[in-house]
Amino acid sequence: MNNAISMKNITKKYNKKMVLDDISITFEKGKIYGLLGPNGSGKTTLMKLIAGLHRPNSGELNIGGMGVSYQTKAKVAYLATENFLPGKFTLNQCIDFFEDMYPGFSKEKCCGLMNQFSIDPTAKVSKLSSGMVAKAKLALILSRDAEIYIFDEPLNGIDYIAKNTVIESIVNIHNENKTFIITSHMVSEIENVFDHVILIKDAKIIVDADADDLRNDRGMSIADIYVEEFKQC
Amino acid sequence: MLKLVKYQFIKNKYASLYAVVAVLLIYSGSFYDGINGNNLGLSGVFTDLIAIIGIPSLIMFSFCIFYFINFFGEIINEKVYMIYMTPNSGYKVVYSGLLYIILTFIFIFVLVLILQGIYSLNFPEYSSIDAILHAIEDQGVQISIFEGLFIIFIITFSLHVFILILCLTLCIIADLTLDKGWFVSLMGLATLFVIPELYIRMIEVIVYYLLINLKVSLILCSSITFGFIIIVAVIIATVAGYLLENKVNL
Repeated sequence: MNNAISMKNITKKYNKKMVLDDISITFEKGKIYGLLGPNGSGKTTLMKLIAGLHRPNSGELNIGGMGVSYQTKAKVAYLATENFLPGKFTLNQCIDFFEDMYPGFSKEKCCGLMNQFSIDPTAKVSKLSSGMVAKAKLALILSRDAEIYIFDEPLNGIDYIAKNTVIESIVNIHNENKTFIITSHMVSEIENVFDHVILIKDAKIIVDADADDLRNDRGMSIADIYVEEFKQC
Repeated sequence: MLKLVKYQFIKNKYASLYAVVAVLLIYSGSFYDGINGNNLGLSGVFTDLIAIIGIPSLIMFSFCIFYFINFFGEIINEKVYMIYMTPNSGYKVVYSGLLYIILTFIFIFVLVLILQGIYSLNFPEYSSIDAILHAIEDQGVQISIFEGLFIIFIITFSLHVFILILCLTLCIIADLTLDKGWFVSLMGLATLFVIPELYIRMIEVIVYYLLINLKVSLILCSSITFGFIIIVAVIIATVAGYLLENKVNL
């Protein structure tokens, strides 16, 4: 089976507000997906459903052939936009926690990335700037050995020089067995890594296409297509 | 599970430290009074019982409040959900929290027993564990009905607070996780009133026995309290685990 994730007629509501409306989509193994859309379009909800942090109201969601449960969390590495690290912890304690909880987590790799990002692992999370927290979260997630990596705005709060390191790190860990889903509003900076692009608007998918085919068909970059599709939002 | 409990201890180390410091502060005051020849106006069996039952209970209640406020603060703010991203079931996460509270409680209880033992050995004129044991053994002639009622009041009040916290916990989780606010709140409120009510009824039976036999009532009171607290805590933790596992949106 070549599908990493399959979603069938997924609907998600918050109270009465429809956030995802009858979404059906498959994510193939080994591809890097760009999930793009304006604020409030449902991207984060879709990612949290895959990460097992949200539950759909209806529909079927499978990860590697299994229904989403706490067990599938071992297969999914999710980088949230929020700071999910406890403020009382030092980064070393966060690293130990990840090592304890996730099989295949590489402590060496994480320390190496933190060093590359110039972060002191003995620092407390609450004492770090938002940019430093963003880098620390990235280092932790990138050091996991997962089948699916989900990055919600991985470039947010990251300085210009570190952005290239982030993109390089993503490309470096990518292989035919690892699937990536990335959202970013900085489309032009990251669009070159996308194999496939999904545009989401008002809780529905409006484009689901191969990135190169999309560029060739429309004769413009993904960033320009994004602007054209969402200029009224 | 052990890794999760270890995480709970690291995460809540300041709360645990607070509980230990509170016990040590209380006892340093008692020892200071003992050395200076003052007592608290209470002596013998009564002081010991109040200390052994009251101090760990009071510390644990404020400790539980601190713990649960922290726990739900994290979920409500949709922050710091690192633990819920791990491949552990909601049940495991909640049980690890419960186990952490129970282990801390046992530690505090043992610490109080040791300190109270030392205090009793050094200042037998103010306090004596032997006296408690003899009092219970000899049908407690040294304890008046009023003192006995007061002890039971402390146990009841303590457990009440604990149960209320647990019920409140259930209500908050339910409200957070189910999109049926009014129904869940109503059920939660009913639970808040019904569970302590049931407990009060049981305590009434004990008070009745107290009037006849102190030993029987103390044994009854402690067994029911222990059994009740364990059952309620496990039920609520299981429901909380189910909601976390199946309903929660973080």
